[in-house]
Amino acid sequence: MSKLSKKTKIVFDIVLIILFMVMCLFSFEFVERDTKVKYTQVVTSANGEITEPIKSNLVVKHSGDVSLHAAWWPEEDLGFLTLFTVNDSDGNTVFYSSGNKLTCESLPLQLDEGSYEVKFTFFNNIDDINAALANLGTAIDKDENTFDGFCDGEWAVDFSFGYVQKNIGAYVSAALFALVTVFVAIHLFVLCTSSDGKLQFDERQLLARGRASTASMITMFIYFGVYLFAKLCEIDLYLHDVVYIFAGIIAGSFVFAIISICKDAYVALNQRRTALCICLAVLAVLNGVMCVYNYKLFVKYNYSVDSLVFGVAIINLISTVVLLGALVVMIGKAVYDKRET
Amino acid sequence: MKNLKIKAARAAKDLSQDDLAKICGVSRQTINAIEKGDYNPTIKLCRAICRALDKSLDELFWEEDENE
Repeated sequence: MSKLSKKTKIVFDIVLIILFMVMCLFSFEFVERDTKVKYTQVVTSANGEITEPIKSNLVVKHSGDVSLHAAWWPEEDLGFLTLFTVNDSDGNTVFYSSGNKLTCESLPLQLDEGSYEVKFTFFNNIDDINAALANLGTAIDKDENTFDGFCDGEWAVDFSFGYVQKNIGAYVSAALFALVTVFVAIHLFVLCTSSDGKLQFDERQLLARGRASTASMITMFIYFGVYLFAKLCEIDLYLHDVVYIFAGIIAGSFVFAIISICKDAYVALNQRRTALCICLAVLAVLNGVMCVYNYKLFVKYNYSVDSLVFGVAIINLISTVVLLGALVVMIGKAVYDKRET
Repeated sequence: MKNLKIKAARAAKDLSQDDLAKICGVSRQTINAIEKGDYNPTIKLCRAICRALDKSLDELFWEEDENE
């Protein structure tokens, strides 16, 4: 690599950046999005019967946790009972919920890959719904539920249904590709801003980089050692595993960055301090915004603390703090250098 | 240990750290680190500094106290 000319290295870096960006976007395609849909449907009831149940299909592309949210919440009490069911392709009920009005959010369902039928069914008396619930091994208590009788007519009711499923593997690979892209971009930046052949005896920089790398590796070894020990001891770590993995990588990168800045391991970068400080500030702000966005999602859908959405918010928060820390150190070093010269 | 000999020789030639760094093909920070004693240069860099300051290796890098 060191034998290659500067132009070849630049072209090589650009190709790598494009490749990694494509890989990152490709990976993100496999991270499922929130598929919540909201619509209004007219429910007609006549002669003691509801015309038809509200049905929808749920296609689970990857086996694993599915966070389901469904709501049937008419403003007026329509006088009939509702049963919400999730059935697999064989007709077996994997989840149900019942009541006059009902809402189901962030259900921690473990579903296999495949197609499921979700359905709201309506009943005009407790005996009918209990007949349906008997198949599921449960019943509504007549004493605790009031039923005012069935009302004929037409009602426009809000009905929402959707699911959120995050593919952790795809998310991690997308994030790693994004990280590698940033590193290659920094390398390209150094290449473009350094002058050819003028620093032929500057082994000090290589030495400083080596020391920074060693310190970074030791930090990560200690961190992951403690993490693995905690896992082996089955200590409850509360947050998603992805948070701990990324926190370790970020801690190692932070140590490397701080030592590199303090020891002038990348003089070419030091010469472009203003641009670099702006980049760090922009990245910190972006991470801060993403942190707030993910935290709002966490609150909105009432995710658990060990969910990936909350985990990503924490990673964004850690990144923001680390980037701001690096920014402060860089500004401090610039002031120190100015006083020294 | 600080290398005051290089600093003195540089001042005698009216060169700044940056000027000397450019002549030697290193960064200013490297010259600064050598003068402060934070970095031991390689023999290649020592020779480049000696050439730039018209001094011998003995004059700039030999520590009498260490060998007596």
